[in-house]
Amino acid sequence: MKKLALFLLPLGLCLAVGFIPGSSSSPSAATRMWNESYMVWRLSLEAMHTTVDQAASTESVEKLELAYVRSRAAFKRIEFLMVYLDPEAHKDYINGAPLLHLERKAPDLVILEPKGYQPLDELLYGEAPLEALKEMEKLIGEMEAMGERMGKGKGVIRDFQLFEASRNGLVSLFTLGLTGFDTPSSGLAMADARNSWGGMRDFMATFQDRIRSRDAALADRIERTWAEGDQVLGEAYDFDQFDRLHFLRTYLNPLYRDLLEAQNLLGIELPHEVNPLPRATNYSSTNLFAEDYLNPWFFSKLPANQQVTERTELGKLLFFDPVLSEATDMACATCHHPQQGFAEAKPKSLARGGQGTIQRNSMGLVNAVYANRYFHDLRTEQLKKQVAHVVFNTQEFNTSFTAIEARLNRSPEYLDLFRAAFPRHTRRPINEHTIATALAYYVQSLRGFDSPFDRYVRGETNEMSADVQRGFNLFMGKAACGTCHFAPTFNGNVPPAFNDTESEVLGVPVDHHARSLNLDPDRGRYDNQRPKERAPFYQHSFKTPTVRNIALTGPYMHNGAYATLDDVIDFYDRGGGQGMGLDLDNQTLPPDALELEEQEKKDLVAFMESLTDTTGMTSIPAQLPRFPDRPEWNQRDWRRNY
Amino acid sequence: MKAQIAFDPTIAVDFTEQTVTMPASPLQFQILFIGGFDKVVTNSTYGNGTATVTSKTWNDFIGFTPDTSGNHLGWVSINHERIVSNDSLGDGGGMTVFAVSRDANADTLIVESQTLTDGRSGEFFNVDFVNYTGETGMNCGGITSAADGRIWTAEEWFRGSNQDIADRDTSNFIIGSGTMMGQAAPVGFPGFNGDTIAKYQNYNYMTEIDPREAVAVRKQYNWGRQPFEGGVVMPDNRTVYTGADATPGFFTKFVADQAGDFTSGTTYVYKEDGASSKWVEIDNTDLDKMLNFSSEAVAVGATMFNRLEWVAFDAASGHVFLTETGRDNPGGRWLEADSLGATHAAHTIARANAQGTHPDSADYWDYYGRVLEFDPTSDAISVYLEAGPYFATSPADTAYPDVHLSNPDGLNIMSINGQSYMVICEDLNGTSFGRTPDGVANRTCELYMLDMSIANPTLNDLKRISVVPQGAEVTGACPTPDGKTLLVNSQHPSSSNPFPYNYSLTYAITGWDQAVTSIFDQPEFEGNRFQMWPNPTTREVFFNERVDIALYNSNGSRVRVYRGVKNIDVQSLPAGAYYIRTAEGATQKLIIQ
Repeated sequence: MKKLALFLLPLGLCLAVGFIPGSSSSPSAATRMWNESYMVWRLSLEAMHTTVDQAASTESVEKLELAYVRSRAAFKRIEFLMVYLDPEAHKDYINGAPLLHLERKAPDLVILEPKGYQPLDELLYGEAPLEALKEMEKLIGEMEAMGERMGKGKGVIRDFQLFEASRNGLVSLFTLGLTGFDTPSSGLAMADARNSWGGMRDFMATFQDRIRSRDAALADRIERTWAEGDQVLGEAYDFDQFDRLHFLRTYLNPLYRDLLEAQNLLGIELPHEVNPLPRATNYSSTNLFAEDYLNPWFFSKLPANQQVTERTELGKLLFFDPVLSEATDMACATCHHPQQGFAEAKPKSLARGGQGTIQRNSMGLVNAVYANRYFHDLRTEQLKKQVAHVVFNTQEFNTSFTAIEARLNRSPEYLDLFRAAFPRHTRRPINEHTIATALAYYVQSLRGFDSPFDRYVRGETNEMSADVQRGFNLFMGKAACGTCHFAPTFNGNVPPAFNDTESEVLGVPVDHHARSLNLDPDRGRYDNQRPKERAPFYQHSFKTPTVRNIALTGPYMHNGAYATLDDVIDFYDRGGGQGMGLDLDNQTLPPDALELEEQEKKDLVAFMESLTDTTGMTSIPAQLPRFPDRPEWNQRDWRRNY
Repeated sequence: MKAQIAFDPTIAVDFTEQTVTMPASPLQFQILFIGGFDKVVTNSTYGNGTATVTSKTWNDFIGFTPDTSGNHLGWVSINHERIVSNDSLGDGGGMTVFAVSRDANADTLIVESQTLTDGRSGEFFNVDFVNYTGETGMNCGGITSAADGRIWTAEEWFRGSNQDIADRDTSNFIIGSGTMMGQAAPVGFPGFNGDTIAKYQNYNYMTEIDPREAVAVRKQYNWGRQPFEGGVVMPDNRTVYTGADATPGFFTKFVADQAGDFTSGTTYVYKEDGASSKWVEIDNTDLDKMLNFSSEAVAVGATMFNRLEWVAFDAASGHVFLTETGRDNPGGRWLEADSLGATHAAHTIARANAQGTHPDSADYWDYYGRVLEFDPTSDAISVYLEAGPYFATSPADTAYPDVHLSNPDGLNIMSINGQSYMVICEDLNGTSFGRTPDGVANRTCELYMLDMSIANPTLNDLKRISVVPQGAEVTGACPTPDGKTLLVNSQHPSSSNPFPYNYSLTYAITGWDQAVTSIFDQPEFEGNRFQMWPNPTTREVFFNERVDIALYNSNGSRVRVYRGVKNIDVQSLPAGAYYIRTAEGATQKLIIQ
């Protein structure tokens, strides 16, 4: 891998000095701050190590907790830069989820134990910290070794890196830190948030003079927002009571916008000017809940060329056209109804010819583009590639692209539309690539970030009922929904890179009304036919779907076992399958009860119901292309009660 | 404190002191085969007659078999890594083969139509494993014989039980008369015919195929069941060296009793610290030993490697080269084998010593891997090129090197105009610890060339070649014997490249006989003022000093900013006029053709 612009410098344990060749003869204040703060963090690990070595009694657990809190504080101040500079090392060794995971790019299936702060958090604040001293020492020792390794060669921080890292850091602070995502047992999320905020504030303060010399009002605004945000975080030590929504609207989003303005004002290069590889987020977006915050093209891998409109409209015709299925009786829309958020109001849709049902619940398609895996079992990548699974499925279209191609070629109308949409395909305009691609463009066009809640978060309206506001704060806080359904899509795409779609093991029963509960036998991801994912901990693991449009997309869960949102919330409130007494050892949802009050449950539903937006997406084609020599196909019915 | 220089977002472009032109590349690029899109002709399989269906995908290894009859240039064999169950193509990965000729005028390659002995006609053919060897696994690497171009495919992704396989039929397999889903797979193996093995035990072999007839020939049960990746058949047509992609992975040798007959001979495993010989025999007439090859190797104290990938033969030196791609923290993977008698390679011990630890320790790391050199005369293995660099001690130079090699995987040696060039493909195991630039989380795997006439080459002797779509992984670099063309696969590209560049492609890059020396050309500068020097083959623009620069388009809008660079890669920029401005304000025009 070629290095585009990177310098390495000696980094001694006592003295850290960096300088920027070609630009400056002395280290920038931010570079000095980075090297010094990094050293403080490493010393905090060392102190923690010493404390754990000496710990032997309950009293020393308290000392250990103190050392741990100090280390977290030092870490949180620079975490935004560590994540930015080396996200993978950060995840693998410092602050990854406390779950078993697979070694990436390994030649065989290797299950790795979690490392870093999160498993440490669980042990130290678990039931028997004194019995886990050895394990804790191992975790701390590994972090120390990694701290040394990661620090080497990270001498110089560039201006553009600080801006990008801080803006991403704000997103992480809100979507991860404040939800309690990385403090599974200690409950230190609020203290963490203040340290993260303070760290970014200190680094970005090094730009204030330059900003002020060009735009004093902007400099004042930035300074004030940092200061007021710090005060609000400092006053709010109660995780359950913190008003996240207010914090987001008043401080975080405005700062996210203003930092970009400052970066442009100072002429500091933007990420795509440094590295043109596509990203999941749109750096020029000014609000975490803006329609353009995420970049759909990154996910779909479709080219944003001159035929987008033609392809999308052709895809729409194909989506509703039953001629694609063997018996001309089933279209994509048969199980994905526009009025139901492109899901279907059945636990499981009927299979071809009404013979039983298909395997799993029909998922809503609005915002489906924002994922890097498709189907409940995450069996395939990209919208384009999932089409084949419906075409060949014997319970669904039960046909082949070759057969579809032969059919569509009988329609001069279709042929013209394909030619217009895919001018490069001169020899075979209708083929499996163009069919699947057109469908993918249509599904990609089904995007909505203009729900009542979005408009309120963005400040376009100040009208929002109190229950929705409380519901959002519960969702992101006490009810812990936001630790898996990440804002702003509220699906399983992990911030701040948003390029990894997660699955979870919840322990969903076959029928929650049954007298004796049984775990749904569907093994989900484990059986997704990808040998490299056939790990025991993926048994019963399913994709984390979006909560947007959830009011329309019931029933819920991979098997449609839950008919209402009240049922769903009750399921989580009880700690999922394990919390309800089902025997499964790899549940990723904590089995503890959430202890939600009745009003809180209602608030959560109110919030979720404020996330509906299908504006401009529900129309169906006025007519479908005709087949001159197959009059019986021209009778095909596509205008059902969608 | 001084601020870092910011470049104006727009500049006036009416005046520049100098114009530099980057000519079009002298290399010709051709797409030969699109995996998962082009149609292949299949044999009758599982009750389905011969059919023309979409090929499998994720193109990996490429083999090239010269046509000694002179009819065509030769046959190209492509591995498919993506596992899909298919009633016409078979389960598992698979292979596609086709014949090519060279256009006498343009020098480009032409895919030829063929009619095979079994009656199939077409351009691209699915290699029939089902009817011959009872399916195949995940087809990653392979062997092109240095003697005569015979092809073996490596079945990677080691399976430890029937639980690990996604096959539809998991009943036992009888070698030589096994059936798969009711269909006979008759090709067996002398000595083992009639033996019953579990279904999963019929994977993870080097499997010979016939690229001219698009059929599998046999699984090499006598080379042991291993997670093979690469190998070479030496010019004597008797000796075979193979490597296994595992930790521990073993280096093995097979010597045939008679040249060209690989069904009988002797199998050995490499033991670097062997007293009298570095090769220890493993009895290949004992099926149990072959099925449990790794345990046998451990028991005899064989040398452990950290994921051996491709193996290549250099005719000029007579030496064999291997990529040891590395694994971040291998300690836990070879700890047990070490305790049972297997040994660490000398270079592994040396690395661990330098890190102040032991290879079995969780602290031992191997983030970048290396290329190894094996001398068949002395049987010695040494490090040819250590990948990286990692700055355990910071370099005197404040700048990061222009070349960073991580996790070398694909390896080949291309003989061009009588000179050997090593071709190395990266396959990054991760993005951490400098494998990608700071702040970049996309894995971008690059292709490098090395002039092997350089004694004791270093990373600085590598030349990076931009030849595949953005975000794609390069695999299978394979030269044609005439030294004119390099065949490469670009696998699962992750960006929104236009069709067909968003598919898994097999490319031909032709013109090396003319252009190869130009990739190593050194820029020439006169005087001290800021200067640019273009290399049209590598698509790089060099500068006479390390600079911060901004690149502006023809309207004067800033499109890229580079800091602390001595050269930039313009492969991804559309042709047209650009302006380059330095931090000091000098501006030059750059025309990319």
